[in-house]
Amino acid sequence: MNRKMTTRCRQLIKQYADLPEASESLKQRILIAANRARNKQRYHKQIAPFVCSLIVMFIVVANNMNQSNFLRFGVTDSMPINQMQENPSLVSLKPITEWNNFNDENEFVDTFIRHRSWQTSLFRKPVTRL
Amino acid sequence: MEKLSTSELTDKIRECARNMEHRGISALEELYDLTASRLLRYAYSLTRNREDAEDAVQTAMVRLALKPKLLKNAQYPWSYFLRIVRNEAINISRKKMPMQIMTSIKEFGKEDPARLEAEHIKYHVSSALDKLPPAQSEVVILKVWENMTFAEIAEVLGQSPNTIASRYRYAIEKLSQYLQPFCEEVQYES
Repeated sequence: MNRKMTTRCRQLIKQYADLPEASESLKQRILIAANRARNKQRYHKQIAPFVCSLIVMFIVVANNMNQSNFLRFGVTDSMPINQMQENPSLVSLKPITEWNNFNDENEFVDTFIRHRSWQTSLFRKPVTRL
Repeated sequence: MEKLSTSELTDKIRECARNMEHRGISALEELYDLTASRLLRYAYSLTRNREDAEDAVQTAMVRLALKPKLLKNAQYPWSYFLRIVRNEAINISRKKMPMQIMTSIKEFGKEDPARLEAEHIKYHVSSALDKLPPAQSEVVILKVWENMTFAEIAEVLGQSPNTIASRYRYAIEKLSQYLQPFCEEVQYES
């Protein structure tokens, strides 16, 4: 190919090619988009794990409170004494405010002792039969 | 805009990436001033549309703003940056392929003969570049506008330098055919 033609072609392209120039508005657009993306990234990297750990902490605390009869997910108010003896793990679920509703003194003592054993334990463990 | 060699540009880009890592988004402005026009021209050669080219540049810049380490640690940061823009431009073109619109023909000015002549040549050069396949026109843009070597272009496009050289040769042959009247004028003048 003719070298002069090639050179001229290059000149023409460089001089006349109608290629776009970067504008100030594009710059602003990019900076805004980058800021937004950075904030989103920060949320995902820092805030989201923090929120997740808070949720986990809440679940753990709630679970422990459940074990100490603070939150209850089961009701054993009307459970007869023989059934309570068969299912000792459910005894601790009896609400503390209703302890005056026990049928007799033995039932009260029995439940109270079991309840104390739940309060002192950190993690759930089966209640031993008296 | 000052014309930098590829190695100078590489050093400056690496410095910008370092600044971005330490100072955050505020350093993106420097990177934009340094590279945006070049990137936009390159993206335009692939998308043939200013808006799409701007979108490709924006996406690439935002991506690098989030992970400046990638640019800092790249062996050839400028080639790496061009490659990201290229991928984005290709993605955008691929998405828009079904609804491509014919480019409109500009109206020529009638008053000033010199302007008319310039507009005339500009129109022919632009349509000659548009007639080239994108694979060839991107090589022309990188070679003519960025003064990159075939090896550097090969690094950006992920092809062998020989492929790039032959693409460039075919492109210049076609452009010479399209622009023959203007090339001959010069030969006649010289």
